[in-house]
Amino acid sequence: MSERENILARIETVPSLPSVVIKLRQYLNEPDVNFDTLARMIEYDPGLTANVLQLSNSAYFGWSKSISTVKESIVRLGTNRIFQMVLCMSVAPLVRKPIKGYDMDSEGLWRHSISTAICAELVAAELQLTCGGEAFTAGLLHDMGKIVLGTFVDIDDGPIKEVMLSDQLAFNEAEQMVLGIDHAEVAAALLRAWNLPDHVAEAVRWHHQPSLAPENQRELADLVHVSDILCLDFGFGGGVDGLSYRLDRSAGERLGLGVGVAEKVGAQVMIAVNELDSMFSTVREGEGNGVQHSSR
Amino acid sequence: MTQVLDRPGQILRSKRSICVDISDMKMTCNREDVIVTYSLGSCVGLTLFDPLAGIGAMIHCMLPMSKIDPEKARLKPYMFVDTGVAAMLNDMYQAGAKRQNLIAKVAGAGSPLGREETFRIGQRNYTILRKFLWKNNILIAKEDVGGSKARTLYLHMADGRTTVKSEGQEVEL
Repeated sequence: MSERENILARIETVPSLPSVVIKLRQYLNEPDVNFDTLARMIEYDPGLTANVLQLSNSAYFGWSKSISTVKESIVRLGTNRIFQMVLCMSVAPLVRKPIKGYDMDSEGLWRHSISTAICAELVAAELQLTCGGEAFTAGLLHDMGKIVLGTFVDIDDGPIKEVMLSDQLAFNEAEQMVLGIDHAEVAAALLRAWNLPDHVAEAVRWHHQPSLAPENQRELADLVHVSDILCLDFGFGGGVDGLSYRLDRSAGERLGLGVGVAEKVGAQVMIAVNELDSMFSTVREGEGNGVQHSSR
Repeated sequence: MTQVLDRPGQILRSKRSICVDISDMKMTCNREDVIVTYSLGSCVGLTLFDPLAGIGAMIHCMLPMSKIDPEKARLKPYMFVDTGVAAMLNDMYQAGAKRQNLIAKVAGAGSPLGREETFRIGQRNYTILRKFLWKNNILIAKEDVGGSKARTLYLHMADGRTTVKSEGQEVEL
């Protein structure tokens, strides 16, 4: 079995995304969303319910009267924010741990993932992009391949760094050279295994080479690409790979993203990441942050 | 906003590591302290040390100019080079540091790979910092800037040494 085949086979060992995330996604795409039905879907999981209520009552939102039911949370925060909370809670147990193969501490990938998600959402809003609905999800999950490679496969970063420096390659190009696959392709395979939509997986697949993305899915790939690079630039959770990625200039041009908007968004991301991070630090640890991950 | 951790003459305490977050600045007079900032990508880290007054400070700025968001600059002046370094100098002078004694060292201002880098945030951070210091008659004594590596910057208050760690290696500036 080649190294590439071995890596793809290991995706099966990664816990699946909680079924509630997929159900919520599907339900929120329906034309008529009923808050009672949505609340029941969350309340089916007591741990998730407790954490949604705890986050909804965090100081970040500053409500004068506390929220006591999931339905009230949905009404006050909106369906989009509730879904983002559930998604963050679902991936936190996987992301919020040291990623040995990338020399990241327990907060490194978490901070990079949430900052890229927030950045993508802000850039999409600023530029009024049509793919904005998936910006947060694609941004949050774009580096999940690093979990597979760095934790489940436990790659040795030595040869990758060596090839990167000797051949003057980007880190993902060196991964491709040494392992026969890079973390972007691994992430896309994982997202497909998690039954996430194809266009999200494709954007993640091409987040380091957005010009190679299928034309009808390029906007989301461009968005994740520039958001990822900007967050690495700003120092939100880099690892052994540092800034060793290529910025595809045409991605910014296709999106219409200039330096002014990039800097303005950067300033907003900084504040929002700290707020989101402190909000999630209140969520009780253990028991998978309240979300039950099913094993395959 | 001023982050004076210890005043001159205070009794020395055991060695502390003082962490400077992104868009943050820390200053100390305690010779047992080590000030550190992590993850310098395109951001710039500046250390200023007055060996005579025994005052040291470090700032970690994300963006060059505050004009892109004056409200954010009001809330977080250290986010921007122009407002941040001005506030840092002000704090140091108030604590007793003298301009002519200040030793300035800079790290960071990196960029992703590729000659066509669009945003050039690192390069602009460095340009604005250099210009600001020059206008204030402060020359950069040593620097480790550019490239595509992430850096960790340390200021050792015991002797004013500044070190930079990147890709597993720590070197003195």
